[in-house]
Parts: sequence; structure tokens; C-alpha cells
Amino acid sequence: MKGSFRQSMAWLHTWSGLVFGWVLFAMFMTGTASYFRPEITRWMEPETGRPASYAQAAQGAVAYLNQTAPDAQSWSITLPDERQATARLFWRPAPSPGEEAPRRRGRSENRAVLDASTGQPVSPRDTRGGEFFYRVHFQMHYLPVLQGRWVAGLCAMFMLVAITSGVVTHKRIFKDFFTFRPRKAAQRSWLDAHNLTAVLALPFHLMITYTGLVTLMGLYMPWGVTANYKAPETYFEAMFPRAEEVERSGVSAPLANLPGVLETASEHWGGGRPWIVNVSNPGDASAVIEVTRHSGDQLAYAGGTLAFNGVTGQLISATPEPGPAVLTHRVMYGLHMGRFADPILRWVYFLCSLAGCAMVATGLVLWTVKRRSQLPDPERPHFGFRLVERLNIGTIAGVPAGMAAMLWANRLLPVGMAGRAEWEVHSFFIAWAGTIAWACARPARRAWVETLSAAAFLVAALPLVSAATTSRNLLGALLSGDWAMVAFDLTLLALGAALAFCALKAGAYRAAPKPRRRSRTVAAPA
Amino acid sequence: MSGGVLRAPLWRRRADVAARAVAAIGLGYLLAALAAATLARWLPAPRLEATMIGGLTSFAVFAAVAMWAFAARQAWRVWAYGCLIASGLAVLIWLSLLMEPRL
Amino acid sequence: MILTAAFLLAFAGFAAFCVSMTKHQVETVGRRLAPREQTLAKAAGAAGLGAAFACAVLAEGWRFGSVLWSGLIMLAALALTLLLAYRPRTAARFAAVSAYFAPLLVAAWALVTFIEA
Repeated sequence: MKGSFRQSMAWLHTWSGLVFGWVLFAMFMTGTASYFRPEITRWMEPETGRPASYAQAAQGAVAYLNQTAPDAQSWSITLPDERQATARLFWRPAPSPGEEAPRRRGRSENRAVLDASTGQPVSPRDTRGGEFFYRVHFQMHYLPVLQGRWVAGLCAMFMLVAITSGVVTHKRIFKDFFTFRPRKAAQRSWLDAHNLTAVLALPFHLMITYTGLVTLMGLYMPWGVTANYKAPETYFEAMFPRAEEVERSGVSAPLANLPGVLETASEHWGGGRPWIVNVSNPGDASAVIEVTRHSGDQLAYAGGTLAFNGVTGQLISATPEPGPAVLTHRVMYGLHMGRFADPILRWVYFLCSLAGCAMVATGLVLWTVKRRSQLPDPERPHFGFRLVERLNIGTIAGVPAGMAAMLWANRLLPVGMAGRAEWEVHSFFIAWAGTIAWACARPARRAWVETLSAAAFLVAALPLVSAATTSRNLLGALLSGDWAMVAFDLTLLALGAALAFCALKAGAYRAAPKPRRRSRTVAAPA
Repeated sequence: MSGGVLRAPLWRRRADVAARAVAAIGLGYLLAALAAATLARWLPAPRLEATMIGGLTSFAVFAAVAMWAFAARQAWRVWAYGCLIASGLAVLIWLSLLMEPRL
Repeated sequence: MILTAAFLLAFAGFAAFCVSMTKHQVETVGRRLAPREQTLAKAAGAAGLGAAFACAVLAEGWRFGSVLWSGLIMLAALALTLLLAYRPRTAARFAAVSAYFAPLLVAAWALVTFIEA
């Protein structure tokens, strides 16, 4: 590239942003929603109750497992935290004599979901819950998992390139720090909006992009491991030390009191919360209880595991403290996940992440706004321009519409339907694809208004749909003080209002006096 | 893009962009991977720690190479210097493997 | 309470930075500031952000506090810029009110914590 360094970086910023922009927008939107993964799961499983203390849930889990799988080889209990309403269990049945021990984690018959407070099994409707948004934001869908993760990695890598080249391109970071001129010419105000959402939340964008790559470092950059270890297993043992497996002794002995063990563990961690409990050889004299700390207790996304004698309840061993570089890796992982966040910090995360969505969206729109004024005939743009414009409309309005459509499907599909969870997911993609198709069929400005209005309606109507079809409704949540679900409905209404505002802005646009400046002044979806 | 490349015929401009894009992705990844491995081998730290530092830095290396691929005056320079650096790193890794085998 | 104070301090701090810049002076305070006043505004801005950091750390400890502070100041800057675009005078007034109430909130928080302890 001839020309100055800044010019070549501007070119790189523009094109890397455009090529990866649509997938990045979807990744950002679903990733933003993932900060409320447990709440979304609760909303999508209206059959489940309220969060309860982990000690209560542990008691219920042990009672259930003692009855259902007393002679299992091992039990695993994922305890609820203050945001989850269920404990999730699975167990590995004892291998029959002569049979190789089953290596795979439990199949569906070896699983159970228990109500956190009553300890009774619940069977929520078949749904992926908030897990879908979480998974799709780093491994796509309809693709083999690893391929999907590589696609996400490529997009994230070029997000990093777009951010760094964008910083080089931006001539007046500090001079324009507080500048937003919504009433200026379209190109100016779109550029301001893009700069605003990018620069003011730049630390977040850099952090989230880099740490996002770090979370899948083992997949993307295994070469340091290859250079140092003959077998990856040696590395994994060094990275995640685990207690040795013990043979069943055949002497039966009652299991130590689990809530007591959990309390000891919590004291050991200075008040930290237990999260996953693994019991090997339950009911046997050789039983071992491993308690893993909640990954949201510290910045570092790794709890550390304590092993207890399963009969006496005495502490046997604890995982060693990691070295500084491993700790850095875990802190970066933790910063990305944000699981340590209390409600206020979680909202801060959510809003910064929404700023990220707005940054990608304004950047995509800016590409068309800049070029529209240079078109030979703005009424009949060339194919590339039309393609970008339609994909912009179809994605910026389509992804929120798709996410809402999935929640609609969660409420409207028959509970007993076969492949129900998969059809919820299909409805996300059907709605997104439908929005793109609609955007292609209509004049651009009408398409903005119509698709944004449809998205606004789909999002804002969800509290009503839920109230009409299930026991989850705003009034009930208010009366019972279930603030997470109250906030869920109110957030849907607010997001719907924001989308409606964007639709109004798109509709209120009048062509600028100079015909060469034809473009819309649509606010980016919040 | 301006100046000479912009005035060049369309296919030359496209080839230029393609050469740079392939360099940004392919060479970028190669150099990032080699940098990760070199750091993992040569940093004076316990193996696991050095491995981690190598991995954590590699993404910055990728971003830097990708930017360089589009900033350089001519695309072939990126390829030439990139391959030179890559072979240098490979030699360093090979030397360290001769001195001390893998775990 | 103390986190509200942290947000208000960050908002006021950024507003002070903003006022120190020539391009925003007329729309916010209605006149150009003298060089000494500009320096003063910059110092006030730094003090506001610093005080916000202190509040976040007091509320959540060093580790979580610094993460929270980074997030809060980003949102404060975004809020200020949006308000500035549509209602510059209101932004300036709100910043002044924030700077006034934030210490009161901190004092109230300190009192409550003291009584509880």
C-alpha cells in the first residue's frame, strides 16, 4: 500500500471491519446476552422455582443420589449459586464386571435436574436456555464445534486488528473525546457515533477481544504446549492437577455429611462458595469428596479444588497455587466471563458490551453512508453497495429479532414436541434469515423502519407472551419479590423501546437538502 | 491505497490486496505460533509459566503482523522479511530442542 | 450509595476535563476560560476520577474495585457525551450537582458503615 501509514491503516480498518462485521455483530449481541446466562435459562425454564442456598441444594442432591444411584462409581453435583434455581446432577454407574469403565460423562438417563430448595426432581421444558447464546457467540451453529470456534477466532483476531488499526486511523482521539454532533451531516454524525462508542469504551473492547482469544488459547495457539510437552496430557496434568482415582474397597461406609464438608471448604476459602462436588465411590470406605470453588469468587476464573475423605470429612489435599503467568491467564479468562461481577458490575459489563454492539453496528452503517455520497447514481447503487446495505439491515435488526424469536419459540412450541430445543434454535436463524430476505425485497429506508419495528415488537411483546402462556409474569414476579425476573421483563421492555426509537429515527429521516448527501440518520440499536 | 498501486490495472490491485491478506492471515499465524513456541522454549521460567506467556503474547504478535502486512510499501517485502523471521525463530526452537528435550 | 458517588464523581471529573477543552467551553459554561482556569479544570477532572477510584476500591476492594472503576468511568464518559450533544447546559449543571452531592453520599456511606461496625 502506497500512501501514509495512517491511510493504509484506515483501509485495513474499513475492510476488516466490513468483512467480519456481520458475524462480529452477532457474536457481540449473543455474548452481551450471555452476561445474563443463568437469568435467561431461568426465564426459559418456567417450570423451575427460585434460587436457594447451596447447602440446601446439596442436601437434596445427596438424598436423591443415595436413592437413585447408591452404588455408582461417582456422582457429580453442580450446585446452584444465588442466580440459579436448580442443581444439576449426573452419575457414572459402576462398571459391570469385565466391562471397561465408561469414559464418557453420563448420558441422559444418568442425569437429573433438582429444584434448589425442595430437592425434588424437576423436568423443565426441553430448551438450551441461555446456554445457546453463550455457545453460539464463540462456536457458531450448524458447524462442527471446532470449525465454529475457528471461525469465531478468525473474527475475533480481526476484531483485534480492526481495533488497533482504528486507533491509528483516528486522528483526534483526545480532541474529539466528548464529541457527538447528531445534527450535523449524516457522515459526520455517524462517524462521531462510531468514534464515541469505540473510544469511550475502548478499554472494554480491547479487553473483551483479547481475553476472548485467550479463552480459546488451547485451541488457537497450542504451539507453546507442543514445543514443551511430548504429550498434551502432561501439560494438562501440570495445568489442572487432579487427585488420583481410588479403587473401590468393597467395605461399605456412610458418606460424610456433605453440607458440613461444604462449610469446611467455604471456611478454607475465606467464605468462598462451593460450586461442583464430585463424589467418587459413594457409600464405600474409600470415598473421596472433591469440592471445586465457584469460578466467580475471584477475578481468576479457576476455583481450585479441595479433596476430602468421604467418610470422615477430613481435608486431604488442595490444588497448589498457580504461578504468575498461569494466574494471569486465569484472570484474563475471568475478566472475559465476568462471573465474579455483582449485580451492579454485571450491568456495567452489559452496558459496555452493548456499546460494543453499537460500535460494530455504527461502523457497518458508516461504510454505506460514506460511499452513498460518492455513488454515480445514488438511486441505482452497484451490486456490492446493495449487498452491504441489505446485510446491514438484515443483521442489525435481524439478530435482535432472532434472539427474541427464540424466546417466543420457547413459550409457543408445544412442551412435548420432539426436537423442541433444536427448533427453538432454528427459529433464531429463521428469523434472522427472514429479516435479511425482507431487507432485500424492500426499498432500503422502508426496510430499516419495518425490520427495526418488527424487532422492537418481538422483543417488547415477550413479557406478554410469557404471561399468557406460563406462570412467569411481571406481576407475579413483583409480588413474590423475584427481582431477577422483574428485571428480565423490564429489560425486554427497555430494549424493545430502544429498537422502536431506532425505527422512529429511521422513519423520521428526510432526505438532506443536497441530493449528494442522501442517507439516513438512524440511531444504532442500543 | 493511493499513488502507484491505485493507478495500476485492476488485476494488479486485486493481486496486491490478496497477497497482503494471505500474508496477514497465514504469515501472521505462522509468526504468532513460532513466537509462542520460541518464548515457551527460551523464557527463563518454569515450563508451564513460559508456555503460558508464549500463548498470551502470541495474539499481539498476530495483530502486529497483520497490520504490518497492510502497512508495508510492497507486499513482497512482508513475505520476504516474514519468512526470514520465521526461519530465525524456527532455528531458535530447533536449537533449544537439541539442548533440552521436551517433557 | 458509595457506587452512586463513584459514578457521579467520574461524571463530574469528565465534565471538568471537557470544560478544560476550548471547543466545549462556550456550549457548557457560556464563555472561554482563562488558561489558569483550564489548568484548574484539568486538575479537578483528575481529582474526580481519582476520587471515583477511591470510592470503587472502598466499596469492592482492590481487585473488583478497579474493574468496576474502569467500567463506571467508561459509562460516565458515554453518558456525559450523549447529554452534551443534546443538552450541554444540563450536562454542566448535572456535573456541578454531582460534584456537590457525591461527597455527601460518601459521608453518609461512611456514617452508615461506622454505625454498623
